[in-house]
Amino acid sequence: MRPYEPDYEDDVIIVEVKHRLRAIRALRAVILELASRLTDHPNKHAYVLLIDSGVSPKSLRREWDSYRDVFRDEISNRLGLACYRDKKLDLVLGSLREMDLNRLQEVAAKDNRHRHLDRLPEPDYSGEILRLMILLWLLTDENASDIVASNPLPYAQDEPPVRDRQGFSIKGLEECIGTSYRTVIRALDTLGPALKQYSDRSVALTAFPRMAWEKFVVLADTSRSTKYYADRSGQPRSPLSLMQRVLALNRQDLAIGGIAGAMRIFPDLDLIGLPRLDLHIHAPGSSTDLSFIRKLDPALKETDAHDEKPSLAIHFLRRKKSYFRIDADKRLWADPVECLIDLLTMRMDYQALQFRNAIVPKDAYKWPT
Amino acid sequence: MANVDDALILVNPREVLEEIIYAVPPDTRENLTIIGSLAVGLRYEGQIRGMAVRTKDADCLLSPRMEAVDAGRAIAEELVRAGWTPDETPPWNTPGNRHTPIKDLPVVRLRPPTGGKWFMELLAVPESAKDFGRTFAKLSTSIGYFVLPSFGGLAVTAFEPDRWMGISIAKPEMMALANMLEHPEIRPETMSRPIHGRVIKRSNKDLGRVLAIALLAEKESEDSLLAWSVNWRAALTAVYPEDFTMRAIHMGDGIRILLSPEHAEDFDEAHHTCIYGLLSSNPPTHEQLRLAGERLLEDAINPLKNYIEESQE
Repeated sequence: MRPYEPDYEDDVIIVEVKHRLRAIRALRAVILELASRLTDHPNKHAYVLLIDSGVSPKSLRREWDSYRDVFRDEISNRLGLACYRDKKLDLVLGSLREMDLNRLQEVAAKDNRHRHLDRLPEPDYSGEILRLMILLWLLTDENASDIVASNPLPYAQDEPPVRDRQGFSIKGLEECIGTSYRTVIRALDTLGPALKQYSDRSVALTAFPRMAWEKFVVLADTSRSTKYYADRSGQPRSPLSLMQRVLALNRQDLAIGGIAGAMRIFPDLDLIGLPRLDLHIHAPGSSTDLSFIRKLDPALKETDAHDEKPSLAIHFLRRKKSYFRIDADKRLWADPVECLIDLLTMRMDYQALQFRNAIVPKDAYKWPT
Repeated sequence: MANVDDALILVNPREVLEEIIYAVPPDTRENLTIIGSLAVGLRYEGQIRGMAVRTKDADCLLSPRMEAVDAGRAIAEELVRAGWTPDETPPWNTPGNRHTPIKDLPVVRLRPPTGGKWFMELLAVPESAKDFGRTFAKLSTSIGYFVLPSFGGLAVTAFEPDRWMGISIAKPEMMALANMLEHPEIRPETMSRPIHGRVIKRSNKDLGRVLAIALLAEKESEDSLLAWSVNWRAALTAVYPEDFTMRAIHMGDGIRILLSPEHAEDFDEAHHTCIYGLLSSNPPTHEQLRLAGERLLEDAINPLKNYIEESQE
């Protein structure tokens, strides 16, 4: 087990930072770690710094009071808790030395800047399962075009599950998505007759699930929590320029999709130039860091105006495994299912049809009989 | 109420610079680097409607330091012989004598005999990289004594300039760097004359110039600012080898302050100088100028600061 390392420590204080604390039990573990560290550093004070805490002040006070009898005075007199919100410390419990106030403010301000996380809505697991099953179908089914299966780019991290039984095991799908058996089963039920359950209890698509797909595409923006960004400078940067800047970010959770992603798989797509950049963030957790958008271009601001042409679309991939591909320049690429949805939501109907025909042969894209 | 036309007039950079080039002794052209509005105007003349910029002067930087005083004297003598006259505004209209304390001597500001309302001003690169404050070198001429002023940040404007018609033109990013080095904070000193009816802090005018250059550079090429931090690093390393780190880390402080919400009034002054100065032919809104500043921070200032901080770890 790795030794405990606090978020900040100098000659006089030790600080552990917690962002958006939701459960009080997470606080208990931190307090114990800090108390233990204080026994080894008799001259230091230790603080828990809660940034944008989701626990009420009343609950925090009650919890804090419960520690009084647990620790010796020698420890509890050097232990404090501070809440930081809207750039200031707004609640302090326990012992806080005057001399530590500025240091705590600094730690909070710095930490807040570097770890600003955006909360995401609950994942739409049905949508995640549908897209994963289609991807697996494209990769393994003999009726799918081999353009996807023969993609020479390696996967950035995990490889998709193999068809080790007749189909794919439910357990394997649970691991890909990062959710429970029950949720997987419920989502698979929505795939209709295209899904086959084998005698060994494994499953696979035997055809393209057109009905579920078309229903999904209508609500794709909601399901993928898509955010759109438009230029406010009057001098918009081109999507190509934004794409070059993505590479410089060196983020392992950010892949290129949309037209650029589709053209990476199918270079004959009938289009010159990029009208917008589509990025896919692998965000299996409840939050993600969107501060990189400012680095791409501080003039990009979120918009939900339908009459405005966004330069950037950000989609969130919520399944546990991304199956992003990686090229020689270390650029990550989203899978073809995501790219096809991007083209459809961009209303590039002709190119979407061209791309869909390239990856899903026409006779495989049919209504169930 | 100040006259709105009291400081800046419309001039064509190409015409003014050609007039200067033909007027100065040919053997001093090697010493001459054009800085300021005219250098920016020439560099981005394609973007400037009517190819004219609003300015009051042609700033001519003399380098290297060892030759600056001799070159300055030769230029001043030649121009006076050709009919150029000292700017009529006190104190620049009265050269000093050998007894005049150096602090009371005027800088060389000469107006052309062709009737142009602009004047040519002579400056020199600092003697040493450590001369970060304002320093003056005495310049004796046949019509009296003047000074050649220097201030610290100016040294970077002579770093790897562009060449045009036998003289040097400071690179836009080096002029931006010089202004940022000069103003790591917003100081209260105001310009000697109002700009379009408004008294402006010098820091706001110079930092506003930085934003204007960044905006013009972005307009020319959307990725141009990305190269600035690399060029700045080269210039700062060459010019300030001893305190390169400190200068690189703090050079953007003034811009950060200017863009902060607490300094909205200062930003408004900077915006005012831009729309009645360099950017008058295509004035940006407040938001557009602010975003130009934020792009400058993200593309050029922060990357250099991060590079320094990471290399120190």
